[in-house]
Amino acid sequence: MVLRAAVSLKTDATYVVPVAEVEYILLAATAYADTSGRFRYTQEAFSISDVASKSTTKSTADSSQVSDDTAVATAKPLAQSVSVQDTIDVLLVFIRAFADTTSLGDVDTFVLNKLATEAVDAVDADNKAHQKALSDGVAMNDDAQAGDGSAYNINKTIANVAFAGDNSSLIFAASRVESVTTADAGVLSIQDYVEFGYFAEDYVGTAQSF
Amino acid sequence: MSSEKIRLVRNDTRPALVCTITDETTDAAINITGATVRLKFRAAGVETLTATVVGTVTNGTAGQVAFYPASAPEMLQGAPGDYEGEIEITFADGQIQTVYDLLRFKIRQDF
Repeated sequence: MVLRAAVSLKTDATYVVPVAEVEYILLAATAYADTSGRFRYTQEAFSISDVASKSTTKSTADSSQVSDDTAVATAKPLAQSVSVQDTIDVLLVFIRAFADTTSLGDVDTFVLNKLATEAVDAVDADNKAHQKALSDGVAMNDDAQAGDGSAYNINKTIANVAFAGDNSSLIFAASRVESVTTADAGVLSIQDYVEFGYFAEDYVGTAQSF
Repeated sequence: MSSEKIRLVRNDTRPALVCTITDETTDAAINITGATVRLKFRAAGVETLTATVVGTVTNGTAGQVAFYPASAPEMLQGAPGDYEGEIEITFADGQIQTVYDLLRFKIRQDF
């Protein structure tokens, strides 16, 4: 038996490049703090851009017209007026007793029994006829008074209109008749159209002599 | 490069840091005209950057550049202690080369 052996040599080949044969730049930096102030920091400069200016001008032709202002006015015609007659209300108040049942419009003729205490209104047209006894010897111009004690005959025309303020008791009694003497005489006129004395004569109503 | 640490005070915006870039072999100035030089600032032993300050080339042919803390106030607003900085140069042709050795700083607390 023959043995064989193979021997091989293996080596790593390396090559060292000398530093002198390689050129490269190795940077080195040296730094120091500047205390002299020669190196100053300045901010980045900015630029000013153009600014568009805007202006507005108003045309002088623009003006307000006077005619634009319209005046509105209202006027009330003076012809509008209120008639006084439109507001006249006639109020008649009658103060009468509860027993009275007679109305003015119902009776055409009535008899008035007026109390002696009634005060005679100045507007009353009194026709006074003074007849006194001869024994008194009264002068014709004597103003007869109630206290004289003489008998008076008064011819009175019933022109007096009963006023509400009189408070006189107007007693309407058909059975009661005024006790007048034969010397009493007068004209009884009744009408409710207008005030007595308005007409010179009795145009309306009734008139009786007594 | 000087091994002496640059001493700064916290929250300051001055002084400016003036750096000169040279060839370590020949000590010749590196022309950095038209280049953008950045200072990457961080606390010693920490990977997170505190600030990146872009320098102003004051003399390109002489390789001189200045870094202003006012342009990056966060640079000096960190906690007091040791800091380190790396200078990265982006040349006008776009090529980038970084200085191997680091700049060392020490920041103290202000009153």
